[in-house]
Amino acid sequence: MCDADQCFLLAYIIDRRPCRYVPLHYQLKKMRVKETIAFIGAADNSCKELSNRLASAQYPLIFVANEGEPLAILSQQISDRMPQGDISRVECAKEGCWQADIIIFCPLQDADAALLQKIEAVTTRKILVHLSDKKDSGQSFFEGSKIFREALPNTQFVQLFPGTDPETMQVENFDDEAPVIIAQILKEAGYTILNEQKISI
Amino acid sequence: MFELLREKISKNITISEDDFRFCQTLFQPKKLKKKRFLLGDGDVCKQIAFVEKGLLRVFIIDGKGTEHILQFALEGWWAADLSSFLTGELSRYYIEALEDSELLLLSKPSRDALLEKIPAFERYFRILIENNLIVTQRRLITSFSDTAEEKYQKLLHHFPHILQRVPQHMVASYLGITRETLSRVRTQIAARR
Repeated sequence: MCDADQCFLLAYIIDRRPCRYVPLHYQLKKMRVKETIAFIGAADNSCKELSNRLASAQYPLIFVANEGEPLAILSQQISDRMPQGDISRVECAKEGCWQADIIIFCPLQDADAALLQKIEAVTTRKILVHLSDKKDSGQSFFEGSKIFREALPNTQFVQLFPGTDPETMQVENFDDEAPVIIAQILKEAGYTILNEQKISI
Repeated sequence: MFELLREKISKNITISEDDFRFCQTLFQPKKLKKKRFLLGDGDVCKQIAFVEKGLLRVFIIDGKGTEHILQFALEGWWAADLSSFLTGELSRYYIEALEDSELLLLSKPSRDALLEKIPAFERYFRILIENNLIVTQRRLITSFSDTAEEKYQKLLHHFPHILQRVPQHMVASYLGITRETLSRVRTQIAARR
């Protein structure tokens, strides 16, 4: 009996569950690599809710914040609550965005032009998400997206509008692929997508 | 960020400054920290990765839980599960950073856009795939016919840098031999010198 078999047998005896005969450490190794998600901006309630849910869904999270800033505090709170989670904090926005696959801008009243310029080179082809603080998606979608799309033209832009229920979210965008990816991630994190039919997941 | 990619492309095709600027808008820059994964078993390989800096390893895990390294990717090399990338089927490969790495990722839609806008890239990718086929065939023949020492000597001859940057157990896995055999081979070679 090899090590893998012994490992499997032990797990089987402990768990007492019928399962396919696949050595345990192969099962453990089999994995999907989840998108790394960076958070930039303020840490309001929607941002806290979203980051906590994504951390619970085991997405690697990077918080871009200096020590003592609200996002840094939020990062520490999530790390304390989920020490096994893949949570990190970086002070440099470029570094955080470079490591990330998806960048979430938490509510920003005025997108900082200098910040957007700084991250432009490392955000090409990445999904940029603006988490709006407005409940109404009407005109604000086009207003909010304009700033980002002009500053970062080679990104895929998605805007999120939290619903009145904290478990709901509306996804708006201009691209075909990005909203599907974002909606799937949100669903995995336990959200109900208010405009799911429109996105056609 | 794009210096090495440009250098590699220029070896095979000639493209204008404007075309290269367009090319840059299609690649996704990605920094992958050491021990982090780009691809896992059960994912679809949606992007091919060009290594600007760092080192990746591509491997599979068999039913007994043993890792088999198929490829190392150093600076200037590409890494992907080409079969999964082209067919959209699930990959069995894992791609992991052995060092902090800076990658340029190209998705299928971006590659298609690149080929459509700059047809010279058809030649570039053809050459890449031809080279990949040659290496794969050589590796297949080596794995069937060469002795452990011959395999090690070939690696030493063709890719001496890999041996300086990769732990011995991974070299053994890449060569398809045990750590003990690799250790014995290295001792024998050292003794002859």
